[in-house]
Amino acid sequence: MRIALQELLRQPGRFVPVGVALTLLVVLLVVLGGFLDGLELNQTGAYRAHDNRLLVFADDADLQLQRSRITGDTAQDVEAVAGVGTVGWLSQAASTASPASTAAEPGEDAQIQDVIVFGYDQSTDTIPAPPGDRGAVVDAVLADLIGIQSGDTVVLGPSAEEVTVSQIVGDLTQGAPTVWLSTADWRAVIGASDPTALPREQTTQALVVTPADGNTSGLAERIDTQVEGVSAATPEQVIGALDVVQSQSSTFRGIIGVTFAVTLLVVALFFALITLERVGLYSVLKAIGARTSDLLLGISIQAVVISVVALLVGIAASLAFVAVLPADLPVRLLPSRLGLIAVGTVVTALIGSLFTLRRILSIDPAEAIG
Amino acid sequence: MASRPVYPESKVDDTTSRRKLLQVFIALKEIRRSLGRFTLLTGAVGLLVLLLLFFQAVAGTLTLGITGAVESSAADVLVYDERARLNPQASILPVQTVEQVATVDGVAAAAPISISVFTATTAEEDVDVTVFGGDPTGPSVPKELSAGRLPQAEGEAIFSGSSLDSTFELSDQITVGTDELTVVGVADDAAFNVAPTFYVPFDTYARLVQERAGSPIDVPLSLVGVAVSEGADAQQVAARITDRIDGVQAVDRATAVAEVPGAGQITQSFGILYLLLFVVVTIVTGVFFLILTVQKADALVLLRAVGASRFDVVRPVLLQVVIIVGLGAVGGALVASGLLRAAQDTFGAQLSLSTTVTTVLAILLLGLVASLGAIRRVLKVDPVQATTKAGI
Repeated sequence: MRIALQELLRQPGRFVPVGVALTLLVVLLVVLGGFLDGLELNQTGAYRAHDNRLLVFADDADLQLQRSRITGDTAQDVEAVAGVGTVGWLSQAASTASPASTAAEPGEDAQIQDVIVFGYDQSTDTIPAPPGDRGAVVDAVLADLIGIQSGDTVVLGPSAEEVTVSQIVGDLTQGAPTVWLSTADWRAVIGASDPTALPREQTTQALVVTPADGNTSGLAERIDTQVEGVSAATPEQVIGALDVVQSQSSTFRGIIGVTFAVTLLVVALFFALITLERVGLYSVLKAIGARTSDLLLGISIQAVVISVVALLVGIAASLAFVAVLPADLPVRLLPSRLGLIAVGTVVTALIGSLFTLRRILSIDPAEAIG
Repeated sequence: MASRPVYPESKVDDTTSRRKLLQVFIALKEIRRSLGRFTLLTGAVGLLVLLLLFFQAVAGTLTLGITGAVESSAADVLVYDERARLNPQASILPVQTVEQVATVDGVAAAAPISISVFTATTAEEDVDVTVFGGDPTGPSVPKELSAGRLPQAEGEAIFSGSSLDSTFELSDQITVGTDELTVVGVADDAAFNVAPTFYVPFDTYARLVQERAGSPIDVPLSLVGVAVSEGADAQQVAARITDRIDGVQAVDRATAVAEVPGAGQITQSFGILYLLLFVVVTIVTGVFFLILTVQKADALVLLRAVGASRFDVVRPVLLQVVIIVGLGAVGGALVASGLLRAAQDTFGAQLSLSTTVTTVLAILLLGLVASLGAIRRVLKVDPVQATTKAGI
């Protein structure tokens, strides 16, 4: 073990090539992981903002908000289910948003942004209560993109409906940045700008259910059973039902898996070459009493050290790389993903180094004397 | 007793040819003797090529699924609400814009285009579909049909599918609300938003929208499609429309395709991944051959000392690069093709021959570039070193 570490310290140049290759693979893994998380988070912000609540959809909507329509009568039926605290309406429509200052200057379209406008009734841990009176809650991504702050006026849609920003909240991106209005304001704004996107009168796309005791366990089943034509689910279940998110996630997970396989092959290849170089040395070591396990331990330690160094450099390089990417690319680096990649890389490198086992086992100590 | 290599001397008289054969022989013999190492490299290159081709196939399919409707449109120019930033789904225009556009010089025909997503019921399942409402005889529909005819009556539709989604055949029917749409024509690669796309007459579209809204609302347009007069330049006509009509932005079709939301993001995202993969292939190949060269430095010194020229020792390295990287690239391409074929329902993507050939050649070229470090090392081998202890 000491010899292995000494070699790393005294001849670092020997390990630079594999270190560089591993570093690049770490960058690739981190960027892929960034895309995986970015794509998922960018399309689910509004659902994640309803943690500890249930979302209720029409049962033929497959938990898809845009497909679902629920009438006011059904909402009352849901409210009557035991364990239901409060019920709010939730609807969405695509639109555009820009600061009022640029709305009057058609040439300056750089600050016009595609948005999803939500109409809602209930506050959550993330979203404050609906402001009403044409007040809007705006997510931080939109605020950054078009340069607005609380108190500013924003115009929505082609008919330039004015709303006033009452509060800016965290990232609630749902395919596009989001604007949150009270249900009444939402109907007024969308009705004026794109009436084709409005559900019928006294109809909403989905319901948000807050449990009376804060516990959603069993409540979804009770709602499904007692109210005809609806399907209740937690935000996690709704996200899980999004085909786009699921197919993107499974694709990127597969790609990350293949990248780990490449990492395994690269490490195995490098240590196969290194071992070949050291056959004479290993013969001597075996001749003076070293066991195969000692030699393998040395190689494994070198693999772990190289992979840790590659991880540190690779993650730093990835952070720098992602920082210079265009802001609209869906890349998010999460500590949990970085942790998974780190563990995966070290384990992969360790397994790759063990590919030399057969070669080391076949070394005969007698070779040391020629 | 060790077997002695048999050189094909008897069949080859020419010295140059014999040397070439010998170089090939050395390169192949080394690969055969170190099959494990070379197999690992071939596997690594193969997997990286698999990823590259997979990305390219999926990116191509996704991009076409997003932009197909605009790319294959019969319209030379598309007119948007100026606040929509060339996003068809954010664009809303009053119906009278069609008449205004039709009066602009260079416009041969103007037709309405309205776009919305509906949930349709098919024999098997509910599916979200994009419906384009317009004038089937004007620049509202795809330029070419691969089967069937244009809609002539209400309830008739042209279908175009993204290969990622459900497909419909001629005479298939879907139900939207209480209305039935019957497929009378099929267009290739004219889908929008990666969803099954139906082109219907504007009246049919308006009825679908009004039924969903539950009231006879005025149905606005999303875009106006424009066919330009013969000999007119689409960009100039677009600029003229933008100048003459308040509140609109007109662009030629190529610009409209480039600006479809999501398409640029996909191109950029996958471009980054291509770049990283190409760099990784280059580095891995370069590192491997460099280490290999360093390890056989003594043998190379000896070869040079007994009369081998620099080229004699370089050529086997180049041959090995071509063989190993080539095999990896071709193997990766075959596996990628097989996987995409097997997962057709999931990814809807196929490899195009041109993409595959270009990628394999690019990888091969990069492999050769990557081997420059090893070749430099080989060229630096000095035969005089054979006379020193350190040399051999």
